[in-house]
Amino acid sequence: MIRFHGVTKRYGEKTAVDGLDMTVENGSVCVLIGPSGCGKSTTLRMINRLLEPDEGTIEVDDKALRDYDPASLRLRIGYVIQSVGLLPHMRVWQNIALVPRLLGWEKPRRRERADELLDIVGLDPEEYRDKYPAQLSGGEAQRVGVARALAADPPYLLMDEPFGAVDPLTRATLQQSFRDIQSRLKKTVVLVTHDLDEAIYLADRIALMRDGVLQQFGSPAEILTSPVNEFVREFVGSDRMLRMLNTVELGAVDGWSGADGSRPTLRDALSQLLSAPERSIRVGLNDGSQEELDFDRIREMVLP
Amino acid sequence: MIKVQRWLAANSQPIALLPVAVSLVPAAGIFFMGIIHLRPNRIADGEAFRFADLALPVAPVLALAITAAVLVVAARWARQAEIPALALWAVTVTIVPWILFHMAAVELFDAGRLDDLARVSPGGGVWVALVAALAAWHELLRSVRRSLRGLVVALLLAALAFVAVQIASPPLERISYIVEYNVRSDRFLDELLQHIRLSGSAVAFATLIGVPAGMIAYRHRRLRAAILDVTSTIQTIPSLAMFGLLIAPLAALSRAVPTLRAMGVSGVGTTPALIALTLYALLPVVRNTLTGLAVVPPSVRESGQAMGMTRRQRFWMVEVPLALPVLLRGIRTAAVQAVGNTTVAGLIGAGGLGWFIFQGLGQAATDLVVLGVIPIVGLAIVVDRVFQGLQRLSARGEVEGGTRA
Repeated sequence: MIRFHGVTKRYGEKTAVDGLDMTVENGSVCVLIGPSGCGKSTTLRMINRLLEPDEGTIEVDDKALRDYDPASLRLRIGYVIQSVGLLPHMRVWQNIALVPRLLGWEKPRRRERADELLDIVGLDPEEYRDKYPAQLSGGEAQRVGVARALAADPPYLLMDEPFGAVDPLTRATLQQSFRDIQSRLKKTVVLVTHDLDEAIYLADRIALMRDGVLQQFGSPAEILTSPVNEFVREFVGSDRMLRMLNTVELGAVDGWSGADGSRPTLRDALSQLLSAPERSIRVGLNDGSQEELDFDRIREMVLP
Repeated sequence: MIKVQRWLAANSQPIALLPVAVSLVPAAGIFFMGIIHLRPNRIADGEAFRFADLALPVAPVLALAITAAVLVVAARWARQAEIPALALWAVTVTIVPWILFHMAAVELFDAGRLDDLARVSPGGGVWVALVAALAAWHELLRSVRRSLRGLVVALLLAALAFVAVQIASPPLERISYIVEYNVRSDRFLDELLQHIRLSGSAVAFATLIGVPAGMIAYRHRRLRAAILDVTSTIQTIPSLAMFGLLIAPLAALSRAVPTLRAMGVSGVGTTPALIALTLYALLPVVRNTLTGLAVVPPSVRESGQAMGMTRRQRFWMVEVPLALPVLLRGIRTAAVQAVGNTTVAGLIGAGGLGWFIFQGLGQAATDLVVLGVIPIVGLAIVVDRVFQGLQRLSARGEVEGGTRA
């Protein structure tokens, strides 16, 4: 659990984060979002003490951050950044096994762990373990970055625009992989993005910030259906109900085919339904059951 | 045959015309310039003999001209054949001048001009042809793929062995440099080792002092300018002046402290030489340590920090390995410079190959000067190559990927 109590961070005259109160539950994904300069990255970087707050306290596991030794705190918090920051002089497996190495694991165990993680993030260990970062594509490097963050099985994961630097198709695949991994590993994740669709797709909770002030903190559905003020309403946009469709994932949709390994959402189902000759189509749900889907049912599924 | 040509074409890249021209044009010097230089004794002025002055067979020059023509034709009209043509040219231009040199020496010997005091050395044409040969081998090594390089090097060694045999066969034992060497063969080895010892220790000391100094300069912005100023000012002092400046204080020190005198510290000899050489070697080491550390990308630095590295771990696991190629480049510069600078140490009684040079200058014996210069140049090249190899090794990740600038 990560708790913010009245956290304020200033850069000279400018207040980057202003009196933030927020709790990130264990095993949930909290997405920080907002326009540039809203303080979302600053908030993230205070969690692993790359930055220190000027006022207020942050608690991790009911213990104030200032009572942790920064280096050993960071060993328990995986960190993924947009520029990936892989160490260019180390091979892929050495990069992944970096935190285990800092924790003093034996080499054979580190190698084994690196292979496991390459599997988890969907890269073939045979092909990738001995490459150097410069030999990877953007998407591959980002996967290795995630693998590195997960290597020592840290309970916490911080991600700063982790999928921002790759092309849209790769981004969609990475987002899906991340969701799959998260559904298995149940880490406590804080993720920064400026992409609302990404936030809706990945988040259990969205924290929408503006000028250092938290505007609304709630589930994607809450943010989309009941914005608390004009700023939130504008930020989620007039097509917010369409975005809601993306929060509902399905097992299969008749006539739909997407990229390898990707799954359809209610939005894809609606698109199929609009072009279907009948008033309803068959979809498979996540639990494997089948259902006839029509417009009324879609409305029910979006507005719980 | 066609198979061989296809295979060669697949394993090579087109040769560049400029280096080939650089190789072709000076080769003509062998016909127009001196082939052999004859002096009646060690210090007398000599006489150069050109091809036309001696009754030499035409065959070697003809062979040279024909292979040159083959190369031009191949490079212009038959690109599949250009690599073999270039190889043929490289071999020919390497060995023919020395064959002519040897023939010329035999000619002079038969004419009775090569008595016991007389000495011969290669004429200007032979030296110019050597430049042509270098250009040819360089271009050949560059244009064949890695798998074929071994073959080219073998060919080069064979050509060099052939040249060595030419030089060693009578009457060429009278080549001036060899005569000079024979007179001082013991001393030569001693001074060569002393040269290596002096420059090697200077670089070692400069590394021991310069790397920490570079790290301090990196960590403390305020000291940076001071450290760089001092080391670069040292570089501007002429080496002769530096040795001169050190004599007085060291002599005084040696007089004042008997222990130091017992250790061999004095105004002349090894101590001032070592101090001066170390001071000169400092700048490249300090500067490259600083640069190497400064160019580590901030994102990589921060990611090390965020992974949970302590400051010390970050330094040894991230900053040092990433700075190492740049640091090695600095040590390489320092080492090559030190090999050259050590020459001057010969002037203040520290020995080294400079001794031959200054002796030769004093006696107006050019051959003795050359005897000192050649191993210095060789040493510098060897040192340069060794560090280049180390540099490549240390930059594995960056080099293999090729995408990182």
